[in-house]
Formats: sequence, C-alpha cells, structure tokens
Amino acid sequence: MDSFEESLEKMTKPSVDKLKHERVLSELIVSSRGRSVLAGWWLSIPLYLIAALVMKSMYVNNSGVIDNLLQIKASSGLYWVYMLVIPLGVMIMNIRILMVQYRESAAPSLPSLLSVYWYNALMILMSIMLLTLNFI
Amino acid sequence: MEMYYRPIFGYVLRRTGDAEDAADIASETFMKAFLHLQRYRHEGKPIRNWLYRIATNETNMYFRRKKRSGSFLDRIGPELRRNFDNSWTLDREQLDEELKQHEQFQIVVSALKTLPAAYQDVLSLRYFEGKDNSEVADILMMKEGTVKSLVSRGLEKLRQICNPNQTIALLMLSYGLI
Repeated sequence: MDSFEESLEKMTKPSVDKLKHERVLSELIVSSRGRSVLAGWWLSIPLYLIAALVMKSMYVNNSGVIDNLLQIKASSGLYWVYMLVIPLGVMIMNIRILMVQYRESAAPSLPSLLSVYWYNALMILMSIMLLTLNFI
Repeated sequence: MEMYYRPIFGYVLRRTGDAEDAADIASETFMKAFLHLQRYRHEGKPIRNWLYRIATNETNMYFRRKKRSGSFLDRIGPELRRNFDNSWTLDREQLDEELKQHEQFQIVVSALKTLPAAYQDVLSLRYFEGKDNSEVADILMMKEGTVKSLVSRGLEKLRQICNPNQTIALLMLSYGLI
C-alpha cells in the first residue's frame, strides 16, 4: 500500500449519526405504495354511461345494451369523448407510468411490479374494456 | 428501513459530497428497494449489499441526468413535502456542518467526480466505505479481478488529479472561485 492509498484510508470522512427525516421518509414511502399519478375518477364518466345503459336495458321492455349504446352513439356528441378520448388518454398515461417504473427499477418481475402498481394496471384494463365497446 | 437507511444515506453523502443530492438519491433508493423487496428475496444475498447496489445505480443515474427534478421527493405533493422539509431542514444544517469539517475529503470527492462512473463506484466503496474487494465485487456484480484492476487504475488516475497544483484548482472549484 503506497502513501496515497494509505492517506485515502486514514483520511477522516463525514459520518451520519442521527437523521430526523428518516422516520418521515419511511412513512412517505409506505404511503406512496400503489398511488397512481393519474386519478381514476375520469373513468367513472364512461362507466356511469355503461351502468345507465345496462339499467335501461333491464327496465325498459324490448331494449338491449347494444341497441342503447348504438342509440347514444348516434345522438350524443360527447359519446366519443367519454368512450374513446378519455379511456384512450387514461390508458396511454397509465401504460407510460408502468413503462417508466419498469425501466427505472431495472426490469423487475411482472408480479412484483403489479403488486405495487395494481391500480394503474386496473385502469388500463378498464380502459380497454370501454374501448372495446366502440367496436361493437 | 431504520437499520439500513443511515449507512446508505452516509454512503451517498460521501459519494456526492452534497446533502441535498444525498437526500434525493437515498429516498429514490429506498423507494425502489421497497418496490422490489420481493425480487431481493429471490437473490438470497445480504440485503445491505443489495441496497448499496441500488444506491450506486441511482447515484450514477442521478448524475447522468444532471437534474434534481423528477425524484421521489418531487413527486410526493406539496403537503407531504412540507412534512418532510420540516425534519429535513434540521438534518441538512447538521450535514452541511459535518461536510465543512472534512475539507480534505471534499477535495478528494471533487477529484473523484471527474473520473468515469466505474472508478467512482469502486473507489468510493473501497476507500470511503471500507469494503474489501470481494464485497465491492458482490455489490457491483463484478468479478473480483475486475474490481482489483479498476481500483488500481482508478487510484492512479485519482493520484494524478490530486497532485498539489491540481488540488489548489479543486479547492478553488469547490469554493466556487473558478
């Protein structure tokens, strides 16, 4: 061992004795588990629409979910916003969140990723479900 | 977390020489560790080494991006951030004071930061954290021979940078005079 190496080893280094932010940080990390960057309440609009269609088909004679859906598609100008733009936007953003997390976390196993980001996965599934209805 | 946070925070602090950077990196490290705890169990290696590995990767990634925004602490929202800042302000004062008391160390860290990341990784683990070559190899997932050669080449490069003339330049750099 030469003198330079020795001086590196013997040199005094900053140490950390007590950290007050440690406890707060651990609470923050635990509470952030499963939090989605994008709130899912947007999806409640198209889901409400679906629920209304199902209810209508149940209580109105000679009326089916598909027929009612086609009726709204033809009459409501906001149909494409509720059933296409919102689910598509929600899906893209949540996929992006999952991809970023996957890349930044050095490619974890899928169950491990989904155990934390299950909410985002659920949002993607619901969006796909709603988008599928457009092709009926 | 309490058992491991302090050593890992200390490692990142000694690696970066900056308390604010250390808080950003250490919080991101523990967030990732928490997320992938399940993955760790399958590897069956000491958890401390696994945390050192994540912290090393996070440090390199942090400096590659050269930005503070987007870290875990930036994503937590204003109210939670205020809670964190209340305790962090007190820690930061203490840590800044601690860093100031180790002038020679600050010079070496400034010199170390000019080397490629691979040298920074091995030299900081070897000489700041006191790990032996086999531990460094385990943390960085390298062969012991590779660590040995990186240490020896890194030391040589660091020695060249830390010669007396350059030390003055680094001192001036660390005090913002140049």
